Amino acid sequence: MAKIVYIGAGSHQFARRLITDILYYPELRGNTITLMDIAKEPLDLITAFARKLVEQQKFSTRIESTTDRRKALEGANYVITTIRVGGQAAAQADRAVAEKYELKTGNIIGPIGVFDGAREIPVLLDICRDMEELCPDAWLINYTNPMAINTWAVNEYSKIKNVGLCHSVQHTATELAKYIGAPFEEISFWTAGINHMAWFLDFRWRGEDAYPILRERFKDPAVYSAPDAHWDGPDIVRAEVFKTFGYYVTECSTIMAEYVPYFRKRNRPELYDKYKLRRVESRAAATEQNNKDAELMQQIKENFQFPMSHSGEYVSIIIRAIEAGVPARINGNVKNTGLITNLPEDCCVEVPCLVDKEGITPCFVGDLPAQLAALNRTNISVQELAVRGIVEKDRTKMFQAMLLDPLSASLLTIDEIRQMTDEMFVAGAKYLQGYK
Amino acid sequence: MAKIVIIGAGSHIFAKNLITDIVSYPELRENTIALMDISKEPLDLITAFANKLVKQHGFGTKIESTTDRREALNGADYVIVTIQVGGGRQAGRDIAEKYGLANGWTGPASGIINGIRQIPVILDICRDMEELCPDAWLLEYANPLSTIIWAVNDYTKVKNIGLCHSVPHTAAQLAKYIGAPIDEVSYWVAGINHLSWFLEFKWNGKDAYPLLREKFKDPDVYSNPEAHWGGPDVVRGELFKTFGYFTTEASFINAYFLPYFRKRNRPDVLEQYKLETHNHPERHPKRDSELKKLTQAADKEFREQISGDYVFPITKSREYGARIIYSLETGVPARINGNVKNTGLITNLMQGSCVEVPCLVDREGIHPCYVGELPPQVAALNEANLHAQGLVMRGIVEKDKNKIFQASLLDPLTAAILTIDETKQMVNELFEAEAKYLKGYK
Repeated sequence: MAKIVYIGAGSHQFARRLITDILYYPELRGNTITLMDIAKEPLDLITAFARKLVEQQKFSTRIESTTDRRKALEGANYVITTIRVGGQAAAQADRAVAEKYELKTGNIIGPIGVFDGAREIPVLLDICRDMEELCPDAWLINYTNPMAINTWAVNEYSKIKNVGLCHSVQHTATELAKYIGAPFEEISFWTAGINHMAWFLDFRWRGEDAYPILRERFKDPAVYSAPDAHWDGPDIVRAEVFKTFGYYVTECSTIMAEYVPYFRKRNRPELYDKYKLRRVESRAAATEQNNKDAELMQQIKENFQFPMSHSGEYVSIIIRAIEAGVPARINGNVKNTGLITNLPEDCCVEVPCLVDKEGITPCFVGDLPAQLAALNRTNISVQELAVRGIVEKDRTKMFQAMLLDPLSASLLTIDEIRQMTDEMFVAGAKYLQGYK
Repeated sequence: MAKIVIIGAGSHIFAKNLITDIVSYPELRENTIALMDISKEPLDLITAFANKLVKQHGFGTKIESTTDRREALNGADYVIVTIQVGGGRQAGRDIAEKYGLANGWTGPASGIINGIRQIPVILDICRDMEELCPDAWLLEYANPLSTIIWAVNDYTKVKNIGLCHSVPHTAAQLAKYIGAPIDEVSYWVAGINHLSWFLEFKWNGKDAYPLLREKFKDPDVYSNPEAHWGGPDVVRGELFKTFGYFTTEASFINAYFLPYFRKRNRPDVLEQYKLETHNHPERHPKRDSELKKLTQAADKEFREQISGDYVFPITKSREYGARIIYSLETGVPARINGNVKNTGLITNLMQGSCVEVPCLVDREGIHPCYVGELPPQVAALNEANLHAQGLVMRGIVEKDKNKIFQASLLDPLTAAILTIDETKQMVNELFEAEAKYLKGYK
């Protein structure tokens, strides 16, 4: 019987999905799921949900719940992490600074990503230390962003077996199938690169190259420019990247525009219109969260019949493949041990992995097409300096990481980036103690 | 007796130094120097100079002169290449400038066009060498150096090295900044051409960076117009303070390779880095007419010296060419910085690319030294340029316009300033302007 620990289970929309996914597989119903969060209220809510689900379905799954991380980790076989240190407030403080410099972005790359990493990495490494002591053979399955920076730090500074997961490969595959009008089960793909900027090196429909069809469809810009082209809105940036560099990229257009310098230019608002870029708004996240909380509470109280379905997230697929020995292929974020030969050794790459009883084994990819490797490499440079800056608490390296961010470098001068870095240090002072 | 061939000897300011350098070594005076150029007039001029120099000093050097490349290469031991295909006229520079980019020989856009002109000819020279002098060393000086050397390494079997004077010049500059005699400083420099890093810089064996940092607290030291031969040295001063290491070449050239110093519609930034002041013609001729005027004046003076009773002095420049030949011929070891294939020399730069590293030269040949990892922040700056270079090189050899377009997109300065559409437009304009050199591109 395996013990599956979920750290940060209070992020309950995501936790609900993952818990349901795990219980979706009959082979995984006899295990223990230990839910852990530092905040008691959301933890109690998700615990109530999990117990309700197990009770409704009459599964023998044991649900544990604790705010004590070390207690949760004791004897664990799988440790899932979806933490967000400092919550919305800390992220918002960073955003306010970046916005002044026209650099408001997601929490993955650029100034906001680097400083988010500075909050997450110390905690993730603490979890790893605990794991080395309490469950040294367990798998760490990390969902926390900034994915590449976090995974790189874990690989470099701990001994824990781990994989970093994101859903951007599966989601993009679904969208590509939709673009060409193919049923999802009939397409196949081979995707590699870095998280949020991985490339569909192969994309097939019933075994045949489907890129010619996609190219044909994309001759009509309405296909990718429509407001409902993609869950995130118009998909113009990715289409443009596809037409220009020859391969489709994962994630979404809003995020891709943050990784490269082509789509946002200083004092050129016309580009926002041209690429229909969503201006990242500070969503009324808190209110939204409260509403969802109330809804879930109500459902539990009213004995709402929670459906058993699978979200497509990899974590349950991985646990099943390891536990039951049913081989699976997933795309995971792992250390580049010569897997992608034209990206730096030891950086964090997102590649296809085989999962079976032996564990998670990354597959060899070889050289990426030169133009794609080049785009990845610019961001890997940021990640490298950020990891070192964060772990060594070195302000200069953090500043240099910002300088290497392709979008920051294209929009700002060295002095302006220095100023922005200084302001980020002030805004996040609480989480940035001891930096020299 | 060795045969030293200079291809493109008509670039006579450079050739004059090189020839003088060679005969400055007593051990190299009994060789043959074969001068070759496709244009007869400048070739005759440099030949007259070489004959006069040898005669004046009573050396036994044999001077040959020909416009026939294959004849020159026959039986050569050293082939020095300093060609400029199409001469000084560079439509690419004006187009680059129109789009707000810098307009140098090796920078964005214009550097690409220069590669399009130069690489096919240099690969032709290599084909001839493989046939006529397969054991000869190619000493390659033509720009864009890195792209050319990368192509030579990937597509030919010729032993070669790419040479530039930016390392010794920068060393001299650094010595000047700290007030040290040049023979008391030492250094270890690696990276890529025109963006190599002084990983170590010492005065009498002691780290001299603290001293430089101290001097640079006064910005006037590097901002004044006389700071450097290229004008104010603000960009390099700033790079040093920001990334921790001093870089080779010159401020106005380093600014081509990075996105920080030129911004669209921001003359304040050009002003801050004093990037406009380098443009006075004798330092950096950018217009045809200026270039022509300068060349004519230099030609006239040179002609008068040759025909008159002027005695050409025997001096040594800082160029590596003659020093390399001397070490290979006599076995006296030398350390130079050369551009070579990255065969694991710099472990965190792209394998197979062209890197500039210290090399040992002796009778056995030119041996690149292992460098290891560059500090990650400077490796990152180099890598951004390497990716663009690699794609340019492939685009040129495969005659693939799309690769050249993608390479332009990957150039850090171009990407910072232009959108994808604007870059495409610029590449189209470059292709129109240079159609003559772009036959057969798909």
